[in-house]
Amino acid sequence: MSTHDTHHLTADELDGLLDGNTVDRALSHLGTCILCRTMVELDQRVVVALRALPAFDPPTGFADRVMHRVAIRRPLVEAIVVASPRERAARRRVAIAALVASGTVAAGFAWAAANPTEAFNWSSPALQGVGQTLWASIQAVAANAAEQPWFGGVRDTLASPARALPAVAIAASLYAAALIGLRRLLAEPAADAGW
Amino acid sequence: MTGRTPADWRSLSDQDVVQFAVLGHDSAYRELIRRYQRPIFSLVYRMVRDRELAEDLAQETFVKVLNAIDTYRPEYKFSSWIFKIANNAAIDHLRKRSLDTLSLDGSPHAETADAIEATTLQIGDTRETQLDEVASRELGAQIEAAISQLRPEYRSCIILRHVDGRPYEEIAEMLGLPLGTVKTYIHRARNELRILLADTRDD
Repeated sequence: MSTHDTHHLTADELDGLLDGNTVDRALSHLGTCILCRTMVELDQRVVVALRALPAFDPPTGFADRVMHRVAIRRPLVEAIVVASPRERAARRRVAIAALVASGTVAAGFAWAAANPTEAFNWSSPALQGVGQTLWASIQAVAANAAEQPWFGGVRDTLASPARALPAVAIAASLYAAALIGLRRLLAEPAADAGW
Repeated sequence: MTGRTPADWRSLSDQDVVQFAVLGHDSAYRELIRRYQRPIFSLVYRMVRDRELAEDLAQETFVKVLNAIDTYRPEYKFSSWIFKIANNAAIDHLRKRSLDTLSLDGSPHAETADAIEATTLQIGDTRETQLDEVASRELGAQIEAAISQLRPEYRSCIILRHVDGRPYEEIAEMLGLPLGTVKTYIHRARNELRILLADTRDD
């Protein structure tokens, strides 16, 4: 008996033989070792028996029951594709209008950048007019308030901190009470409210 | 694409079918179920030995996979993904219930005659002659009984390797185990099966 014959088959060599891959050392060892030969034969029987085992069918309706529990996701692309012709036309019109508006604004800015002097001459009177109108409105509101009969009393009250503090406190309390009342009015009824 | 016939689906790879499923095609979901319901149910049934329970676990597996279909990474095999989830479901159940012994006469949970019949293993091959069929049934029953006595980890490895014919690398990927561990488990499982079958023959 040669030296290598004393080494029994390794797990890898055994796997190789079961898979039909012949290895010279394994084959020569099998010729001399009855123990390994018996083991290979038994393993081959086990593997053949395992390969012959049938597959089992799931019960009828299995696929339907699975599908019933699966949430199939509809991608966003599909949602866009299924838009009606009217919706698509409306979207197209909005897109065109937005394009025209933004183009006009961009062209205006480009012209102003190219002609700064002319742009300033055109815009200056307009801005002056807006400022004057705003100032005149503020003056009119102030003059109107000053002519009211209660204005003198309010002015006297606010002139002294000792008088102003209670007045501000009362006003703040009234404001808070009004807010709380409004919030309660707008609140949803409780589930057990018995409505 | 919704007008695809079953023959069209059969020509597509798993990855392609998954792509259609991600796009929301119901029939792609059904095709994935059609392809995997038998092997997944068989694996789970051989692990838990109870048809009703096997259906529940197989359903859970499909629902989990199909509801997360958009997270599937195509660099991995779809089969590895779904088998991994099925195996985890079965192993988790066995660990919880310590249900790792088999009664060939039906599930240990079966209480009525109908339930016992429904959970009894059905083994056989109609192509063989009657005598061969009897021998095959006997050997099949013996090997099924022997599988049921293995540790759950050995059980899934030996089923995936020698019943389903999957390569070691794929089994390692499915079970999240090192390749060497998978080889060791399969080698030990074969040793145990050999001994169990020899004992049965001696009886």
